[in-house]
Amino acid sequence: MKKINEKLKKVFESKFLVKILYGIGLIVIILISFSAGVSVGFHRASFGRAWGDNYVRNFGITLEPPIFPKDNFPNAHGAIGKIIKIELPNVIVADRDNTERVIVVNNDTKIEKIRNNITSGDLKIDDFIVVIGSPNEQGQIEAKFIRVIPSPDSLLNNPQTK
Amino acid sequence: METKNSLKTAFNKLSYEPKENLSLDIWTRILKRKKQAIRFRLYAFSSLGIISLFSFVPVFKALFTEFAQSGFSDYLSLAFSNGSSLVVYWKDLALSLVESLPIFDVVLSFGIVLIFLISLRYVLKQIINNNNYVGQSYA
Repeated sequence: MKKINEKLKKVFESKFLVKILYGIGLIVIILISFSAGVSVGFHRASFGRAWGDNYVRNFGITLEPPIFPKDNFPNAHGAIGKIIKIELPNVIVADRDNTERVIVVNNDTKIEKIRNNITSGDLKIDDFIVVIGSPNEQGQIEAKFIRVIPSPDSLLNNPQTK
Repeated sequence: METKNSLKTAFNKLSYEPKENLSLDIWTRILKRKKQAIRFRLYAFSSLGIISLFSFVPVFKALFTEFAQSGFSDYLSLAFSNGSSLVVYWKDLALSLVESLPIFDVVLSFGIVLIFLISLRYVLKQIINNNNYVGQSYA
């Protein structure tokens, strides 16, 4: 029995086993990172496909086809940009990656400006907003939270307002 | 048989005797080769370290620009300014942050830092090895 214990101790304290454990841990981390990347990529690609397929319905017929931003897929769970059109419950935002996004505002959407809660009726064209939401099948983002912030351009022109 | 015996005797008489200081010459040669290898590695890793150090500026500049342009900083500021309100929508916020993260620039930045640190480690190792071999001779 003592011999078996000693042998077991030798095995579990061996450097070879430690290396194997490190190797397995590394493989697990790589696989988790890979699956996270696949999941996020899938969401973005799905939204990008829906956005492209519904572009004419959402924004009307244009002479030029919609162009994806530089890394090919728009963000599916948020938008940041200036409001260019308001047709409640839809608000169209020009995102930073030069794409248009339709934000769907519903009764559950929380809208804040500075420290005050406001309603969708208080949103105005040229307001700069940050939106958190979920994508839908029509290539739109159903907003859960909207924050109206000062436009970066106005901050650059008037740094004292910071 | 006689020829064989006489050949055997002749070969036994021809025993090889090494020249004087042969072992010292061999040891000196080995040390010289080791010092050359250390010096080569020192220059190679130093060059790599200097190149990576100079790359810090453009890489980190691009990283900060991408962070601002992608909107990651805006989403992150939401988390700090409206943390309590956004707890309910943590999943959407997390996905917004992940989607806006400039992965390529982050990986590049970490890569440059890693290369610099590895180069620094090997340079110090070569300096220590060089100091160990300086003045060393066959005792």
